Amino acid sequence: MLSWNKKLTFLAVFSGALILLAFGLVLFYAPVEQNMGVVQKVFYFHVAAAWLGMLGFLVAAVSAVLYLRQNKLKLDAVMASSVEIGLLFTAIANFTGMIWARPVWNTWWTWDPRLTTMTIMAFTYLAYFLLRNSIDDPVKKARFGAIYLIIGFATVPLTFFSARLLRTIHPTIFGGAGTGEMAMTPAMYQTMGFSIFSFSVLFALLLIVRSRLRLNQQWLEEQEALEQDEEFGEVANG
Amino acid sequence: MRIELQGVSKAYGRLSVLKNCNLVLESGQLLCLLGSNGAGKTTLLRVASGLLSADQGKLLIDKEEWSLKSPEWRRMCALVAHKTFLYQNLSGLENLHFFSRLYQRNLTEKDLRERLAEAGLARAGDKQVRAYSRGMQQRLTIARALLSDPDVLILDEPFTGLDKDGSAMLVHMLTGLKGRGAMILMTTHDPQAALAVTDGFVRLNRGVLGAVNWVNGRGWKEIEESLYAQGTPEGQAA
Amino acid sequence: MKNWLSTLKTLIWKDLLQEWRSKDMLTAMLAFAILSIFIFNYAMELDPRQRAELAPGILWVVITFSGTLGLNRSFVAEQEQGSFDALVMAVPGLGSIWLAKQISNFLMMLVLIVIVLPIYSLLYNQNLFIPGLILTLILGAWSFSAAGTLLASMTAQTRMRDLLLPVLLFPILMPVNMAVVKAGTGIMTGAALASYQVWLSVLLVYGIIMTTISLLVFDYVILE
Repeated sequence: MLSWNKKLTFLAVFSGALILLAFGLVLFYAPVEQNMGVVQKVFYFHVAAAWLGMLGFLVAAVSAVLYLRQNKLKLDAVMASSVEIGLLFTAIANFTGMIWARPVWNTWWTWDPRLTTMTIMAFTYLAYFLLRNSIDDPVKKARFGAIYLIIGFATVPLTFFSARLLRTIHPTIFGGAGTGEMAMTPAMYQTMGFSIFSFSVLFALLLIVRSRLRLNQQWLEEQEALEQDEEFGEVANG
Repeated sequence: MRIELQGVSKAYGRLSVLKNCNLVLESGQLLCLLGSNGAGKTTLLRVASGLLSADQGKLLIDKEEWSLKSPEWRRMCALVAHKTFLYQNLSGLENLHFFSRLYQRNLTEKDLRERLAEAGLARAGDKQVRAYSRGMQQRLTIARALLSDPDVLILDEPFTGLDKDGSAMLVHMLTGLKGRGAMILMTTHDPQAALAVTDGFVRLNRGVLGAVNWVNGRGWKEIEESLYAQGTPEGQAA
Repeated sequence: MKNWLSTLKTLIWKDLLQEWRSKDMLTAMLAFAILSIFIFNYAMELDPRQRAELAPGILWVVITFSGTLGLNRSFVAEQEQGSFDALVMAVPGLGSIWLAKQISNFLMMLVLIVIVLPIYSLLYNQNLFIPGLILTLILGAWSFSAAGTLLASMTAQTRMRDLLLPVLLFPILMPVNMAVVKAGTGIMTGAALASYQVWLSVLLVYGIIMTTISLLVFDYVILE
């Protein structure tokens, strides 16, 4: 049974402080963008959230490969939690993107490559949970989930490449011609970098806490099964 | 040939299904595994045949260590389980032809029909398996298992679904196999039926395998007494 | 090597014979495909050029949805009669079990395409027998069944089975969908090869990646 400890408290306080600092930077340090106005500031959290969406998938895919090779059931908790958090932040990224897009591009949605890829990734995440829910045996749940994550992750590069071939109106940050371009000053880069960093620390915190919660849940279920075994003298999977 | 399973353990989470099981089989021997529902019999058979991975356990063939997960070992074993493994839309003959090809044993149609006759299915050989009765399917399943002339035959409650003739046929086949030097491990709910062909009984009680009770010409009543006088697993360990 | 090939042939023979007897997969696929083609006709009253542009997209939608219905049936026999166990014990290289299934499913898809293409051409008064389009559909079918066979081997072992396969499959299949439709449209509108060639490469790359991953990962699907 895992319980809260001092290290986690420290991590929580630390990431909380970082996020507050990031807010501060975004509001007071970063300049207002000349073309888009104040609404552009959503951008700092939008990109960070999108990054976390990707990170969630990456961590899950790596855990999946590790799980298949090492067979440690604890990794299943990490996989599921990572996908959960990634899904949450992908939703946040899509939402903040829409807040930004409406005044700037006058539309809620575009078939732009990054957006399309992230949305398809979100569908893969959801499908992953549906797959897990459809399996009762915990080992099979972990194994099939891992396989699906690996397949899903392997198709992301191709999905992005294909989506990009289709269309591009998403602003390219680092120069390049095209509409919807932003002029980035050093202060903006710094704010962006810091925002991404603080969100990553938040990701680590959420991942650790969520995984421990899942492990505790598993422990409880096993405890119940053991008690049932003692009571009825039978093994569930004999 | 002499086969030893040493220290086989399997747990689902914290629920221990098999605890340090040891079993020895020699050429021409048939051992019958007894135990209540949920005792772990099917799990042990699946681990032995290489279909399920054990947490711990060694396989020794003539004192040489093999991996329980090796494809070569799986090929040496033949399994008769609860499910028939048969393809319902294919005829009995086609099913046998399929499996004999998989085992690289190119039996001619004549050979296959002989085997069908041995199983009492001579006239049904060309009918689709979906038209077979439960007893006929069981006979075909057994014939299928014997196609590869296996060194090791593992049977999970093979007498299920067989009438008197079918049971007699099975006993005849098993005796023939023993004569050819095969090793056989069997579970059954009907020890009296097995008495005709088994060399000894072994009891699996809540994951612990007891000592072998050799038949040695004794009647079932006597054997039953000594089997269940072995007492609780804790008593055995002492 | 010879053994491996003979095993592969035996497995494929078994699948094709099973299908021939039951006609499970083909019935499901064809019924759906033909019905959909009729429905699409009511949805589109367009001039010939627009219809030509839309044809690959509509065709591919019909093929993927029908294909999914077929894939759902492909592991039914193994699942119901537990034959996976028998195959695992008899076949040393488990990847060949997957490959045989993949090839059988691919052949089913080809049969579907062979039947659907003339019907579509007839009903929509459109010549679809262009080599480029057929090649695109064949590449698409291989990629589709590569992804689908692997996922179907998993969903067959779950509670939700048939319902789960499309949910799992469609996000994964996006590159294939985009590539088939874009290449097909390019071909149908007579565009230069250079403009849509890259889509054919996408299809090829996807097929290779999915086949490789499936061969590597299949052991984990059927061994416990």
